[in-house]
Amino acid sequence: MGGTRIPSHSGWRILGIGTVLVLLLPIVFVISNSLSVETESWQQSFPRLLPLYLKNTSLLLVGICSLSLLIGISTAWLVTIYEFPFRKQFEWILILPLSIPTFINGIAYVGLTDYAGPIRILLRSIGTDVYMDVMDHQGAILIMSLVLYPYIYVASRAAFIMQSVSLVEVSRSLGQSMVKTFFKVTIPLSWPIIFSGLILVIMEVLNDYGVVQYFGIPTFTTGIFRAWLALGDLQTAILLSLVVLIFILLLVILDTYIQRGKKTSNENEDQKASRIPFRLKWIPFIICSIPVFFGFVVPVGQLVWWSFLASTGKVWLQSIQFMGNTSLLGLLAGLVVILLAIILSYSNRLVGNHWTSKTFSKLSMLGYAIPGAVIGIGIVTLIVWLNPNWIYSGIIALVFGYSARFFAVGYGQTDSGFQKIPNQLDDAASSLGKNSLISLFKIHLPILKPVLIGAFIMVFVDIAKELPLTLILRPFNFETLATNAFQYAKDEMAPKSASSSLLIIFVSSIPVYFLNKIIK
Amino acid sequence: MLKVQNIKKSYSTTKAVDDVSLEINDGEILSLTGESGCGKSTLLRIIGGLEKSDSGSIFWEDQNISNWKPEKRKFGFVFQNLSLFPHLTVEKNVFFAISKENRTSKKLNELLGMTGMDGFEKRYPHELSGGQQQRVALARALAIDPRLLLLDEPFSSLDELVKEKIRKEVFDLLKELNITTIMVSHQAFDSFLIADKLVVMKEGRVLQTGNPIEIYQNPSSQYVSNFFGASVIIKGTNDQQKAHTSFGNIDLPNLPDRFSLCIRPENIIVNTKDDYDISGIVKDKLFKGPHDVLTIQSPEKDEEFSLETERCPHEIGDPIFLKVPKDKILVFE
Repeated sequence: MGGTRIPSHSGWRILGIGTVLVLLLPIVFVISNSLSVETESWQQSFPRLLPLYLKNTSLLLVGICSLSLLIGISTAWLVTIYEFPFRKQFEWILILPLSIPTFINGIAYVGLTDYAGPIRILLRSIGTDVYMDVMDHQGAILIMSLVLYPYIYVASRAAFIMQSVSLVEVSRSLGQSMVKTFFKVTIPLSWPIIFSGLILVIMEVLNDYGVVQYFGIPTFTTGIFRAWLALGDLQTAILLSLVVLIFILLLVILDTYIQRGKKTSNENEDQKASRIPFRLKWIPFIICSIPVFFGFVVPVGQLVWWSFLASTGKVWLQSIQFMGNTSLLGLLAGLVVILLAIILSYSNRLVGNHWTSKTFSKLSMLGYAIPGAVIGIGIVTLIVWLNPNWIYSGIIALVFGYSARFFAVGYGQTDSGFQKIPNQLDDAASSLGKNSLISLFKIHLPILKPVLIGAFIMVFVDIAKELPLTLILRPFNFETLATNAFQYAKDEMAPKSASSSLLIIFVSSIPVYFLNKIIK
Repeated sequence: MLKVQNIKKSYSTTKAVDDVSLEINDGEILSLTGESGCGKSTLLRIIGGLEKSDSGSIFWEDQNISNWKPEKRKFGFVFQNLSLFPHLTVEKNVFFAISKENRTSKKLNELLGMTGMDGFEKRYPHELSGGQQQRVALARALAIDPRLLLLDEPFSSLDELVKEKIRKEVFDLLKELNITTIMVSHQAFDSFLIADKLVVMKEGRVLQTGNPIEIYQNPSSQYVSNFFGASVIIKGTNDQQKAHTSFGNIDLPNLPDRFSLCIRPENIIVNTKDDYDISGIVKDKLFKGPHDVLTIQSPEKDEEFSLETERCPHEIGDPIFLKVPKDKILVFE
């Protein structure tokens, strides 16, 4: 080697590695404690519960993945290839359902179809009535798909836009119809990107606690809750968490394998072909309207209706108070995430393209893949290990949990922001005698301000929507918008929580704006 | 036989194709040429069915196919960026449109054999060079036994060295297979080597149609003349049926009042002062390998042109005398 000695920045390096290790603690604790689970306890309940959880979780996964793929890919295809009325508006409207957390959509649909809901009131007014029940597997699949398909939509659309138009044209000139071309060219080429969207859907389903608990479908997540919160059986909770962890790990491996495939991007930019006018132009309009109507308009309509029904000053005042609690948590955890993200990104930047920095940044993102319930159990285990007499729930535990789970959201954006700043700026600063800390404050952070604000908003929104982690770690009697919405619905007082739900949806629709910008 | 009648196509305010008609006979190779943006690619895409014209019709063997989808036309299309399917091997690319039962190794060997790609069946496009990708794209288009082959700037992505070779091979192959072909090229010389018929376009309109030699020797306008290689252009006025220029007077019949004389450099002979048509002074001389490039100025120093000649003894400042056969001088108003 030889040459000039590059400053080692060992201080930054230790800080960066430390950040990753702390964030990984909950996962490490789940794994290490699963090794010491006494055989007795796991022989008792585990073999009995596992097949049931496995069956329900798989059913939901298969159903939701299929339906989300169907809706997401078809709408993305229409919006990208064809021309029809309101196509431009649909580009972003189709993302809107993402702002509704799965459990709130569940609450809204149950309210819509139950005895006191508008549909049956209407039916009774014309002298008839039909018993409707959405609280089963099919209902859960439909309700979750309606708000999760945007992950597929966004990924597919990005993939379709990236793909060279001439590949479609060459296929057609070779005598293949649009439909055949779609399956032989478009889908195989877009699959790696669509799959990364699908993984997000899978993670959301594994993370969901609200819908399955409310609908009474026992899955791994409800199992973890039951074991810990109802039975105080930490060991079974750890084992169930381990199964989920292994599944996630397999998923990550599968993803790396798929992404490693052939190069799919087409470097040579060709002329944009004009969009194909759809012969019956209202058909794509109707197809795109369906998911937006049932995934956004209907649930929001139901919530608005409820909030009118139960609109008392007291309800809104309460919701504002819960909003304050949510904001407090979002603010604290958001700031922690951004701070840690800056530390890790900056230390990676200083250390350079070393394999350790790549591995550590990958590892730090792992938390996002892991259901909130599992992280919650990891933190409980950690606290119990530190001192069994401590109260495991509290603001600090919650903030830690949120940071471990949503670090990837803030870090991804912060790091890509850092990478856009040319290295010459750092060199210029150090040649002017500024050390790395001063450069960070005088150069990088001011440049990154808009990126950091964007990242903070994304983390904040995810925290506002998060339910299972909050339920496990929140202090006694501490309500956030999400827990309030869920608790009231469970106690058959859904109308009273509509204002909380609407506030969550309102906050969550902010990133839709950003998301649409990213794919453009 | 393909007939294109009065095709028009506009994008917002620009007329991409403005009332174009043309015909191509079976087995012919027709080249659409012109500067980029002249509408040639749009016309090709309309013929291929990838773009819809605003008005006009396209006939194949007297059948109006204007509204046919591209997949029904059976016109093979080779794109500028080649557009090989990156997720498929050479074999699967070539057999993309061929039904399972017709995918015989005989057919594959035939297609890869004639394009010189045998042995590359299992390769992926990114493992091939530009020239090889070109061959696969051609083999894929030929696999469907196209009634008509459409080539959009087929050689533009190749580097100069390979281009020459592939151009010749493609030409020989198309002639051997007797495939009717329409090619789009913004490079005049691509068209010269390959085409039976040239169509020169500008701003959406056809300027001239004819065989390459005809067009080169008898361009209908100064624009067409310039497009096929540099010409010496000299301004002139009609002086009692003589062409009066800054470089001397030339006897020419039927002159308009004001005109430009356009002379291919290879028709200009450097001669002595005993026998010449025009004369000037060497203002500059550049060494350019096998040639010299002279800048020749008129005696009054009000006009100049550059001329590529064989090595000549003239130095800067010397007078120079040139002979131009009168039948090789083109006059444009």
